[in-house]
Amino acid sequence: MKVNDIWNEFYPKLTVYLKTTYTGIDIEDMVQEILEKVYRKFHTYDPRFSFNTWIYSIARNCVVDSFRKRSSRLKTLSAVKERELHVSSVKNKSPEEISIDKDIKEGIASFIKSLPDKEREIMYLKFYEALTYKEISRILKMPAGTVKYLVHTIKKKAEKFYREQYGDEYEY
Amino acid sequence: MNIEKIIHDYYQTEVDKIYVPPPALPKKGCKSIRNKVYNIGFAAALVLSGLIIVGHVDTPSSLSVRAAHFSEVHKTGEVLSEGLWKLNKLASISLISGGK
Repeated sequence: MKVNDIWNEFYPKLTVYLKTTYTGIDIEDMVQEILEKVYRKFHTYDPRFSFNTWIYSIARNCVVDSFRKRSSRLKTLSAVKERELHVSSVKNKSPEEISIDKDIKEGIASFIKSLPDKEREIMYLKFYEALTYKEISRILKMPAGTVKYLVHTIKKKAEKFYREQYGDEYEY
Repeated sequence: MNIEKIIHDYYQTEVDKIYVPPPALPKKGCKSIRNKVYNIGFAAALVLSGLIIVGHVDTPSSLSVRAAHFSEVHKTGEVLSEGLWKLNKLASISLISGGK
């Protein structure tokens, strides 16, 4: 894989991954830092493992390092509270007011934002990148069984949220 | 349509919205070459300052001091040689004249 290919493929993916998973970081700077690290450490990549797993492990380490450096921590509680407010405001909208697609997207966005950091991360890695439980467990450094349980929980939460938001109007 | 697909589509639209700037990665070897240049420069500066301290190399100010000193010495030498030449001349004159 060439440098330009990695850049073009992972620049947007990492941007969305960081944007939907973490708060309190400069996304653009972080993506550049991650891709620079990927480029520098490319010779250490073991092709026996998935490239996605490797790149997201680096991304996560970079984020954790930056939080450590700034002696900060993930602003989970305040962010979740803020997003819960946003979720309730979305609930008040009638489906007729906005287009279906936009409504669903906004709903999903609010749902994702209402999740704790860890679940948001798992959600992205599982539902977007379609990584296996084992691969996610390697990135997040947690047992595969826990990942599996969390994926199941997130899925249930998402279904419940969707049903509450859109009822039977939109079949899924 | 299932919830997993809805979520996947949401992420996909977000990814598609991102503008990808041209790569801003460092060129291979650039950093290491730059570091080498810095290291060589630092080592050279260290050696030079060592030589200046032990006096093997002149700084511009010490060079001017040395030049002034040299000209002083040179002047003294000239004076001395001139004196000796005169003494010598006197001695030869006295020898020719038989000490008269």
